Amino acid sequence: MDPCSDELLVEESKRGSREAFTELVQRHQGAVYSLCYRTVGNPTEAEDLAQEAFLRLYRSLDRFRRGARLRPWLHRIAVNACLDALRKRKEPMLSLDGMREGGTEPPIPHGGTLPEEACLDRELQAAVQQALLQLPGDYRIALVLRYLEDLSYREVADALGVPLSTVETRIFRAKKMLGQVLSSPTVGGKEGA
Amino acid sequence: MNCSWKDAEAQRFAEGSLDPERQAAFDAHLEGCAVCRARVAEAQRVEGLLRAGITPVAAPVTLASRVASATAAEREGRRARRGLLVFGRRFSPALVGVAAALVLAVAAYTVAPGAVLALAQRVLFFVPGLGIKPAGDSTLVATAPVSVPSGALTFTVEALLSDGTKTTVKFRLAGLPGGKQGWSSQPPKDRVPVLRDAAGREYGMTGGFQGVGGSMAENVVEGEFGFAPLPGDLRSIDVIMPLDYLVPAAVVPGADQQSLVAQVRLAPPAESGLPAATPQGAQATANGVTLRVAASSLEAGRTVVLVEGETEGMARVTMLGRPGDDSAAAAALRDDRGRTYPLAPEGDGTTVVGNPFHKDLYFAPVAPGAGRFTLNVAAVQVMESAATSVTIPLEGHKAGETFALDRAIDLGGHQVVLTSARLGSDQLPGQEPQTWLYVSVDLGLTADGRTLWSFSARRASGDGSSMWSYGTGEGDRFFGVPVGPGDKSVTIDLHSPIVVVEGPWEVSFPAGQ
Repeated sequence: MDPCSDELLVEESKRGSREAFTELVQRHQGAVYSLCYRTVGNPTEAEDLAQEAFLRLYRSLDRFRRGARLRPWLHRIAVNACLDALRKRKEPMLSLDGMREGGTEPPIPHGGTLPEEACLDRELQAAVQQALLQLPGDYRIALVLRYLEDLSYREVADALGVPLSTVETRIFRAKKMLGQVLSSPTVGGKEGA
Repeated sequence: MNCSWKDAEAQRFAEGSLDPERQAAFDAHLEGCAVCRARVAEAQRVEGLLRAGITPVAAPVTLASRVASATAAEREGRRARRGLLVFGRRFSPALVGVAAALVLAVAAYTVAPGAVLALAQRVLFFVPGLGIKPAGDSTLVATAPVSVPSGALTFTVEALLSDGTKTTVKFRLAGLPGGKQGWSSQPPKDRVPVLRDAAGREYGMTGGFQGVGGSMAENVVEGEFGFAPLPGDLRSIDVIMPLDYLVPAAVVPGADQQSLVAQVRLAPPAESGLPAATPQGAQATANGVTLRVAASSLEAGRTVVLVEGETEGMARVTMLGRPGDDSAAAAALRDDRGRTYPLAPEGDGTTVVGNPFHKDLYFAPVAPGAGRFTLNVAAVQVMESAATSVTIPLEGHKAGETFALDRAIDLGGHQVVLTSARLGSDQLPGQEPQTWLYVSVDLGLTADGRTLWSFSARRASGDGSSMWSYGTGEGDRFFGVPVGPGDKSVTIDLHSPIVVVEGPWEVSFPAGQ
């Protein structure tokens, strides 16, 4: 077994090693936090969600099969934490027929920016993030998994526990809606620049 | 033109995610199909935006320590839950919980039949400074406020509540020299508040805090900090507050070398002497807004009523009463003998803006003999989730010139009239001059018992900075957005309108205590 593998760290964590679990957290916190932040759009809420995901991981360590890969498992936990948060917010999770062209109801906007966005692409990233927040939660998380995690459509479907055709529909419609929201000359100009 | 390819396939082609045969066939088709070329061009534009825009971000430096604190609390909780001592014997927590619920239900039925279900589900306490809160197995509260003097300063932990998911500390720092004008609001990242128990275990700040500040003219800083949850068996905790987290060292010399430590005694609510609260549930609905009296507490020398406000859809109640009203006019309480109780001016309680919205209202102590109360709220403020945008041409207009707009815009069914605009310049000390477009607006047209009071405005691209002035009269209202020196036009997003919804809501509930 790789002395630094996730598998070993999980086994050590099961035996009560705090250091091993902390190492797991530090190893995966960037991926988990990014997923949460891109999904909820608010740094404070994203940190709460990331903490919740790691706590759920900690609680379920005993159920982790020896030899299984940690990352997809943790990934599913984080996705579920995000979906739970979106449901609690009462954001529309799915609104297919009711979605008017160019007329989606955005959620209450969240303030806050991250230092990572303070770069040349800051405006573009902020515009995309704002546009993402205007999508129904199910659409948004499908796009985040596809583009942040670079998952295939099949992998997105597996992560969300929905049929492949549902993911295809959500991503298609989400991209059409985003295209309309992000159609301002400034954003288009940035992309072309 | 007939084209058998679907828009979705053009999107997948732009992604490169069609299977190789379809990818090649679509590629061949493109040469002769202008419709699909346009589809692919649009899909590629969106693809580029998503690739550039949905990128990883670094985790906050506090995340790992927060997880460590939370898992430590989890371990402590597991130990505590392994067995509960009842009448000298050890029972499983589940058995104790069922027995406790049965006892509670029977006891509740004898005093208030209508409240059996609610009482069996929630045990409520009034925590001074934090409002009416439910108590669970792992809930801990401070038994009394703790003040720590340090020279001319006094640091006070006014309240502490740990509910199994987080710990909230309400604090106040008094005795500061002068007001707060000119203070930097950048607390140090390497010195942060923390909770530490007698065994040296630390419970990190969870990042959320609110209300830090007091007014610019006051010599106090007060607010709430959130920390990781505490193990339910703790009976004391040190609140460690680096002084320069609250006050810059330029204001209090040596603040960057000093931490204030308040040792707070803890107890479960039932052993703390805190007043109990009664679950209620009566509600009234008007114009799509439901107001509910969720709980009340008639002890502690005052009357506390926990009000919840709920709306349909994604709108949120943000405040009781009309904008500009005296806060004491936000709600009124009277009893069944016709006596009225004014809203306490010193504090109208903790507010949680969400859906439902929560607010603890503090009234004067109730007079003897009252059996029922009626809460009356005349109006509430609601933030709706509508959004729209408007583009304003800037060409031909000079700095300082006011030009007419007379544009009527629909914002979620409310009419916003942009009456005029002016290009002006501001320069803050040490910064480059910034040109702003100031837009005067007319609001206040009423529809269906809802009056538009304000909205948020920001430039559609840029850092989102904007300013708002509500003025003293209708004609004084304007907002401003930054514009660049060469901009020929500016597109502004108008969103999150705040409307005043007229009631009245009259909610009657029993004294219950």
